[in-house]
Amino acid sequence: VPEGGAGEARPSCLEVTFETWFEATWPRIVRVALANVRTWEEAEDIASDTCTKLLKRWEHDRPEDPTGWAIAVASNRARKFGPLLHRTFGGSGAAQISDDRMDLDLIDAIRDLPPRQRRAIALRYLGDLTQGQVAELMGVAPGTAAALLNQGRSKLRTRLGGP
Amino acid sequence: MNDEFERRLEQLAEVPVPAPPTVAKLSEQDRERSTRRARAGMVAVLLIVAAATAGGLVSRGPGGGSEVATAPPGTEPSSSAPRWVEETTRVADATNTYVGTIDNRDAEARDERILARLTRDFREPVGPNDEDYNRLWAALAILDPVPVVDEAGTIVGYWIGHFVTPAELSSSTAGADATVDELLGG
Repeated sequence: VPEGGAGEARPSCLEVTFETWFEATWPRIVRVALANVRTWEEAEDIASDTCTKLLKRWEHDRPEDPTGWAIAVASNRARKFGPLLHRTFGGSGAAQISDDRMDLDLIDAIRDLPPRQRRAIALRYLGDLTQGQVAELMGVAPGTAAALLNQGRSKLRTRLGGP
Repeated sequence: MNDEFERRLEQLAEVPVPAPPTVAKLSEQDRERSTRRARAGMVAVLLIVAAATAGGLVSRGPGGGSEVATAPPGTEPSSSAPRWVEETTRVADATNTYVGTIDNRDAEARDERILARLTRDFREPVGPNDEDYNRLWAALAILDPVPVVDEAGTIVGYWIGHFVTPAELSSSTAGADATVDELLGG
């Protein structure tokens, strides 16, 4: 049974148009990118890039799991291009992420996690994926994904002063 | 108990994000991203098709042949522009002279292969100036080059992060092999 997860509806991509999928999934893709970038502009850039790639494949070469594919690609690209994007956008007046509804301390703490733990936590909580999906997208055994998530949670809890 | 902490984690999935662009905007933004990255040195002398203003725009057709399209100088292709806008990228050599095009799908697939191998066999990058990571990426790109073709579909060189001629590629492969041996153990 998949772990529960808040978030947007998850339409069956076999039946939906790209537009419907895009509107429903966009927030999750942007959030996953947040673990590796510092501004909304950077996160949206990663998400747009990812969705453009999927749009080109939608009709004839759609991944079996478009949402998992898009979240994994966004995560990879954010990790790869995040620092460079920040350098590019830096000084351009891009607004830093700030929102009263945003748990900035937690997101900053996630950014400071070791890479594999950061990716696991980002996929699970920002991407709103199940633990099994995290394991699959990271190409690791379920137990490894569980361990990475536990280690990440433990570090976050310590960093944020929890018990 | 860690109920409060767990609640904070779960609420990350509800973080409000800026509204998505329209689907029609995606392609337009795609071109803007390419320009920014080129400016940042990420794609060096790579020129996007949409930036060409001199009239004739060249692109490989779906069948692998060639076709020439013309656009008025300064015209920005719309988001519903023909597929050739999205499928190929113009490439220039070190002197900024146009030499041919690469198929974007080939380039993206190559990048994904390299990224997958780095993640699987090496490690995550440590910041933007991770010298070993960047060296290994460059070496793997040399060993997995993307063909650059001219208007007739003839391979005139390769894209490895910048344009190289076939001879330059050949002379680079031994060094790339050595780097892979050094950092990945072969």
